Amino acid sequence: MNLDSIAPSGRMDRLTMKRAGKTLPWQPDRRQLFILPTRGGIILGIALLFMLLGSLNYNNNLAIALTFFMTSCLLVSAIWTHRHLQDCRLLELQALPVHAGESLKIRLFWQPPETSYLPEIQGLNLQVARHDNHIDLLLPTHHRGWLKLPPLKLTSRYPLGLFVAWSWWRYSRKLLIWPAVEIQPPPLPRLQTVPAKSNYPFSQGDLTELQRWQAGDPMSRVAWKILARHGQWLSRHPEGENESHGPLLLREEDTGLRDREAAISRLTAWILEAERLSIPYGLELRGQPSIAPALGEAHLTCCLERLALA
Amino acid sequence: MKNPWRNHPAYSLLLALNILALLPQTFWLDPLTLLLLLLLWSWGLAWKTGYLPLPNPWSKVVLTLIVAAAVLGQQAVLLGLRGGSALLAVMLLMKSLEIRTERDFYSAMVGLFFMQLSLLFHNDSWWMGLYVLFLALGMLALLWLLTQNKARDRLPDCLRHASPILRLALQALPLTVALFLLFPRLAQPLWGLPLDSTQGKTGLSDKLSPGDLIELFLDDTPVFRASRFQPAMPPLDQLYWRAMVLWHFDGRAWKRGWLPAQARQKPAKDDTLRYLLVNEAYAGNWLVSLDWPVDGDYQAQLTLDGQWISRQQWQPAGEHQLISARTDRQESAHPLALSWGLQLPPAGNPQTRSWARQQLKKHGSPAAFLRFVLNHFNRENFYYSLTPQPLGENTVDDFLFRTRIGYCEHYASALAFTMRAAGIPARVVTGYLGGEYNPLGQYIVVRKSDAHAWTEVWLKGQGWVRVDPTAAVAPERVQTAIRDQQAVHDQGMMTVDIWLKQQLDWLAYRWNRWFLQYNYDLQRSMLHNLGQWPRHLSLWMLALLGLLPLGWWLYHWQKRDRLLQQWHQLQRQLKRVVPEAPVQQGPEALARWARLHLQGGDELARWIQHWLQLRYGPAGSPPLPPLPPIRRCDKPPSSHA
Repeated sequence: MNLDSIAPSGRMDRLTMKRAGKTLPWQPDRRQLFILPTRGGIILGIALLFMLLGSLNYNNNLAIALTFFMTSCLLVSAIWTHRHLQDCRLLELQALPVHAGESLKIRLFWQPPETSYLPEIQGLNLQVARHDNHIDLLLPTHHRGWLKLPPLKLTSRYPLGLFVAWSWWRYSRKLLIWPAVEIQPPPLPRLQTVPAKSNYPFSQGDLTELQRWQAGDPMSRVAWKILARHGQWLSRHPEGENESHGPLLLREEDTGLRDREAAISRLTAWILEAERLSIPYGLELRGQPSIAPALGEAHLTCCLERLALA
Repeated sequence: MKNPWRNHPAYSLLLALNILALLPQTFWLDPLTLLLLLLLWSWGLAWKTGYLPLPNPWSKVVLTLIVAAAVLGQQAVLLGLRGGSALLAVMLLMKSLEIRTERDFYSAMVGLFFMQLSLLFHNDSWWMGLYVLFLALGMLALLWLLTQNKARDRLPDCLRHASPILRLALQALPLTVALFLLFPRLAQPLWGLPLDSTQGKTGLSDKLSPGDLIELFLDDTPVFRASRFQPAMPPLDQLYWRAMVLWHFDGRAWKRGWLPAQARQKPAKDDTLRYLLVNEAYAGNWLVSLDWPVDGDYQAQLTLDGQWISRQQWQPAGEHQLISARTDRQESAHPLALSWGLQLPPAGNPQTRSWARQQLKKHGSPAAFLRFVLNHFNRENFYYSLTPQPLGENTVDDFLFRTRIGYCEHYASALAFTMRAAGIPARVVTGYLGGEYNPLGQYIVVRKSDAHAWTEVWLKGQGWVRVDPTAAVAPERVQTAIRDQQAVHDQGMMTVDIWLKQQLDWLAYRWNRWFLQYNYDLQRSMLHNLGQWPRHLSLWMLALLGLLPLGWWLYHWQKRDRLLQQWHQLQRQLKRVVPEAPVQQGPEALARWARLHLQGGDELARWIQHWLQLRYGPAGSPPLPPLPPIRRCDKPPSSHA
């Protein structure tokens, strides 16, 4: 399901969303800001109309003054509502990339108006939590690739709740969602540099040797359970790792899967595994130049991006 | 399901506003109604504190019907102002017992709005205005609380942070004033008056039966104020304020009648008395004026028997310039007046009738007979008392020959009857006598307690003569109060309460003159006066409006960026002479380009360097020389090489 296909509910929302703000930092422009009376405003407005009629009929000046005073307060409150929303500023956006299927956590820094009332924020299909200087958005993801943020609606009823002002913001920049990770992937394929060594593309990689822990072994390889039970420091070493430190080239064909998405999920899982095991890895996708084997955060990101956009 | 509003500060505020809106109603609602309303309100309080649940929907309907019926049953006029406001209060309190959503609050607030309106219809004094303003601010605070969504806080804490409400109210004031002054007023009311006109606000009713005025004597409410007497203010005991003439007697009550309208006359110049009368609003089609009315700016007819008859049954507060004749009454004998003035019920009061005929025969002339009757009141043991004994069926007989105790209306009625019985035309006039002088504002305030009734008798050759039989019996009734005041005033014996009373009355007088009487006519004349101004005001306004953009432009011209303008000038000239010049590039690049592609490009490059120096270099560089001429190279520079 594509988030873009979710249309805002009301007709008014559809109409006004065309004027959504797209930039960051952003402050609602007059033309991006809409205001209408709320139901309470309409009820009281009609009551005021009848009051006006009654007091004009008897020319009771105090009653007329009261009616006009309340009317003026209503109108001034509309200006306040408008200004309240106009004083909102969205400043900066922080998001850590996630794999498809996980929830995307976005932290949107903002500067709400200095009142005791914070404007409300609604988004389509996402959870919002308001704080004094930031907004946390929790957005479920479904697909790898570019994700456009769903539109956010800023709403204010300050100060009297008789008018509602709103403005839409839809960030023009997209966020990259990494591919989903296959949950139980097969072990890494054997080293592609020596394909003749084995008939099996991937042998019993899940069998691991336990060796005495040496300084320099990464923490992730410590056999914690054994340590807990026996007090012995041992570290896991996947079988054959010691013999074949040579770099891996992970190729799309090696996944043995025809479905593109499944293949990409598997490759993603492999890349992460190889990075975890510190085996240098490269990536070759069908029809694209391959990425030379390497290790490290930047390389990982590069490979994941390639996979996300494949 | 738990109702979230129970502990919400907004509900506390709603309860508070309800009781505040009910409070002034104690002045005019009967005790039973008040008790019922108070019980309903306490139910809300009991729910809030957890003693009682809210009524369920069916019992609510039944309860509403019962209470509404009970409250309306108490009212003399079913849908008058009192009945209406009592019903409104029931609705409001019932609504406050079914608060479930925010919308219920808005409905309750509509009820509160109309309650405030009914308060103002009952009483439009300045302090009621302040009170209602306070209530209105409370309503704004209620809206604020509903919006803030702070369900947990206590009401006082919430209100402490509601100060923006005051700011909002202040900002709304200018618009309020503009709307008040400029919003078109109605020249004629759109519909009639549901106000309780039978309980006329000034208390004078168009009929007089024994015991009618007694309620008024205890009421200190001001009815009108008079000031600016020209040429001078008459003594207070000469101020007979005429309201109505009662012609028709049915044996018990005198009823009102009026003769056709008269042409406005012009009394002799030294006989006129001009004055300003500022009245409170009241119900009735009669208007007060000083005896004997001659002319004035009332929107009413002046009848032959000296009454002002308005077409409306409701007189708004207003200010009127009136003229009276001091001595010359100028009343012509209208045939209708002479026949009305002799009308008597076919039977009743036989003793008075025969006594009157005998005494007239004995004294000969009507004037002598009149003198005799007044003397009779004075000599015999007639007493003035505000608590007379009740009179039997023959009221006049009873009064003249049995009880002999009464006040102005008894004497006026008895005198008029006696005169008529003797064949002398007579009538009863009601109105006010005297008033209280307020030295602060230099005006006279006339209160309900100044209500008075007297008699007018037709004497051949003299016309209608004002006779005040009360003065014959109890001159002190006419003079005591006035003397007391003057003594106080003369000797400087002002006690604090009198001083305070006068201050407050002066405030009320100002309030009436400046605020309450603003209406369609005043609005029109104000706008008309504004319309006279164009030569002065409008021209000035237009000129000012025209000057504003000029000023704005001047301001920006002064603050303009000279260097940036020079750069733009360079760009423009380059573009004109060499269209392909890379004017969008930076100064350095442009200077390089100029050196290569322009004749005399070095000079331009130097100029650009100078510009750069001024723009970014340290301060103190000499000002920029004029832009050197820009000329194309005849040949590209490469061909030189």
